[in-house]
Amino acid sequence: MKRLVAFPAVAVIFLFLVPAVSSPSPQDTEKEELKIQLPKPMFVGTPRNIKTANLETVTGKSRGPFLVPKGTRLLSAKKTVTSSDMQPVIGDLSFVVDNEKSGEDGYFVELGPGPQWVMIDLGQTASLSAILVWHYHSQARVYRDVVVQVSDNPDFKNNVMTIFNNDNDNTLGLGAGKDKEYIETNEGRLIDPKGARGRYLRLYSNGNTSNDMNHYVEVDVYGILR
Amino acid sequence: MKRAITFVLFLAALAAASYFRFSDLALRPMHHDEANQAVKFGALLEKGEYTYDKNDHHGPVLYYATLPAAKGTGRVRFVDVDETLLRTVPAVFGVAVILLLLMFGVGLQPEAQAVAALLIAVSPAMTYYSRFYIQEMVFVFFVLGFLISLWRYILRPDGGWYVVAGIFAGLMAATKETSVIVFAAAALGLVAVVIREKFFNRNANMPVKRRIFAGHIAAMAIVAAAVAAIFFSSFGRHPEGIKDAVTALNVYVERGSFTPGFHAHPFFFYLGRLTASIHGGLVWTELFVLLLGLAGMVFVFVPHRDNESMVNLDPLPVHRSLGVFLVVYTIAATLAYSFIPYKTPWNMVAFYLGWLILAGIGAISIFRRAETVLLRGVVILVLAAGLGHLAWQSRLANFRYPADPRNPYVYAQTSPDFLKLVRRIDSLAAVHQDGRDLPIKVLAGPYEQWPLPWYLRDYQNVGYWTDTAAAGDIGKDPLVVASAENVESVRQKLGDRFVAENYGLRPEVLITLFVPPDLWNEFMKSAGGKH
Repeated sequence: MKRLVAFPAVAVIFLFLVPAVSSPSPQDTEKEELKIQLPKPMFVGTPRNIKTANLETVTGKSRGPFLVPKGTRLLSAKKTVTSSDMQPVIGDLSFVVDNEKSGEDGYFVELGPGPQWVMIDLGQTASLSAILVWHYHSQARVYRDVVVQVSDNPDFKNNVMTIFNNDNDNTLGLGAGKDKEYIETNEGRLIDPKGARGRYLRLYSNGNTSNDMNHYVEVDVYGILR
Repeated sequence: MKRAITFVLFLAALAAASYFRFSDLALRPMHHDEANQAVKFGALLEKGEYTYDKNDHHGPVLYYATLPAAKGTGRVRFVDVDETLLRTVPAVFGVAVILLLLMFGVGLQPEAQAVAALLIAVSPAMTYYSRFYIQEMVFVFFVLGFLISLWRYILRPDGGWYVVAGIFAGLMAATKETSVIVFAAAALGLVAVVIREKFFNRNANMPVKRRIFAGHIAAMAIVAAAVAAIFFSSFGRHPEGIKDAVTALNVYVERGSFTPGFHAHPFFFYLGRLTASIHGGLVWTELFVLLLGLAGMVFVFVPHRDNESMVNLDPLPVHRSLGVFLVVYTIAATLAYSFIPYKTPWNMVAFYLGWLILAGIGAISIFRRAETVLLRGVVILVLAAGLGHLAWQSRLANFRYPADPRNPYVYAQTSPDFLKLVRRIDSLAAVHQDGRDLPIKVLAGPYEQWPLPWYLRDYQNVGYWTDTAAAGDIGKDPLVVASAENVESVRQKLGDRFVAENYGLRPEVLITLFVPPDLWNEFMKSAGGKH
């Protein structure tokens, strides 16, 4: 008797559960894969002697798909870029948002030594879906103290949200971060802003493991204008 | 008027040379070769010990030349020696090379001396390696002294210049084993001069006609051997050094030709770097010097219609025999250094010096052949632009990109990032109860250990091992610095509780610092969380 009662109950539960497992959730149905055009790689495999602790390993495998809300589009292209170093010796600040991601010479802007930042003005407040950063990917190197912040105002004095921070000892004075350091590759660094809202993005760095300088090949900011 | 202009140009060269050689000498992190030389000097400074090592480090002159600089500034402990003091030594020799040009006397006319001086003063290669605590610029000074003395001897065999040449030759040999290349190239130059004057210039009243005495050459060799022996034997304290210096030639021939390892580079390694280096958005070239040098080489062999004895009427600003000597030396040395598979970029300065002097000759020859005021004005403008471009590149090479791998004079250079590791260790020691006595274990191969011994010279408890197993217990709260090969084994021993930080040692070579969590927390509290 118990078995007879139990069977329909299990069947009902199964009928409710199966759709939830086998088809996209309502949340997922509103998402789509972010299409990213990658530049050609400039070095192959894991570089010798660069696989260490507290550092994301270069696996050589693709990052895999990243889902973003439907309606997401590239917001940063051709937008205004300012910087703590307004007179770069190599390249131009416009390179940061010119949609050219090649790792070859002539496609990056070089900012001066030590801590530097670039700021992108999206023109209006947006809900951010994804940020991709290419500092310099023709050589395996790690950029130090990478911090990405979003704000409503260009002076970043209030209403500031930090969406990435691997400055573990608070060198920049923006708070100690828990994110790991990473090696630059042609895939760029994908940062999930988790829907953070803002008009201005600031990206900080503090030299790299090869030299004192700070570089940007491209920064792509994806989101939805609201 | 002409003399006044020449004098002013020479002074300008000295001023420019001093600026590029003495400013901000501590800016670039110590290269592992510099650190190695520094530690070797430290033993001489503190214990008076020097033993020639035929397998490494080159000759002893650099260390003995550093001694008066350290003691003269009251530094008797190695820990008190810094980068600026050490690098001042090659920098002084780098400026002195320019002063040495005056020793050419009438053989190289003052205008050519002045232009050569300006080129040497601002050449990026010459400025960069004048700021490097290695043997190169000391060696170049002795090379020039030797070449000039040899020329002065040819000019006046009875004047005692063979003794001076012998002294310079001995100092060269006691500085770098590659002196044999210079001796061979200079000998070829000498032979070329003799051939020219004996067979092609029989009617001229030229100095070589007065004979080069075999006895003088023998005396020169004896003086050279004696000077070299004094240094190699550590001033008599280590006589075996003399024997080692002779057998060292085998070591360097073997390494240079057959086992160059990762220093094996193609023939055009040196000339390619000097001609053009385009990398990472930066363009470097000393082609201006090479082209002027080539012009100088050509003009040396372009016959002058007037009697050659009337030197003043000849547009060539150098005695033709000296010109031939310099051309043959420069070509022979360039080829020899280029053919040897083992190459490091600083080696090129020994032959590049010849190019720079010939460039001075070429520049003045072109200027004198320009017959109108307009043309001469154009030549002056081009020369000024070329010198300005070289100076601008020197500024970038020495002050903006001194450790950047895109700089063609940079070679296996320690990254600036490495200094952050040193500062981190200093900060951690500052909050540790033992201060600079805190134990530090370095687990890395020889190439990854340097230049740490230099930077940690003030720490009393630093140990170096090539692998983790040999280092014993590493879990008792010492700082651990590990190369990539040892990181995994260190993590297995320490677990995940230690804070791990990566620092760039050289491009694409990281080194990891492991910090005990309590020390890390102490450190983070110490500066309000801002470092």
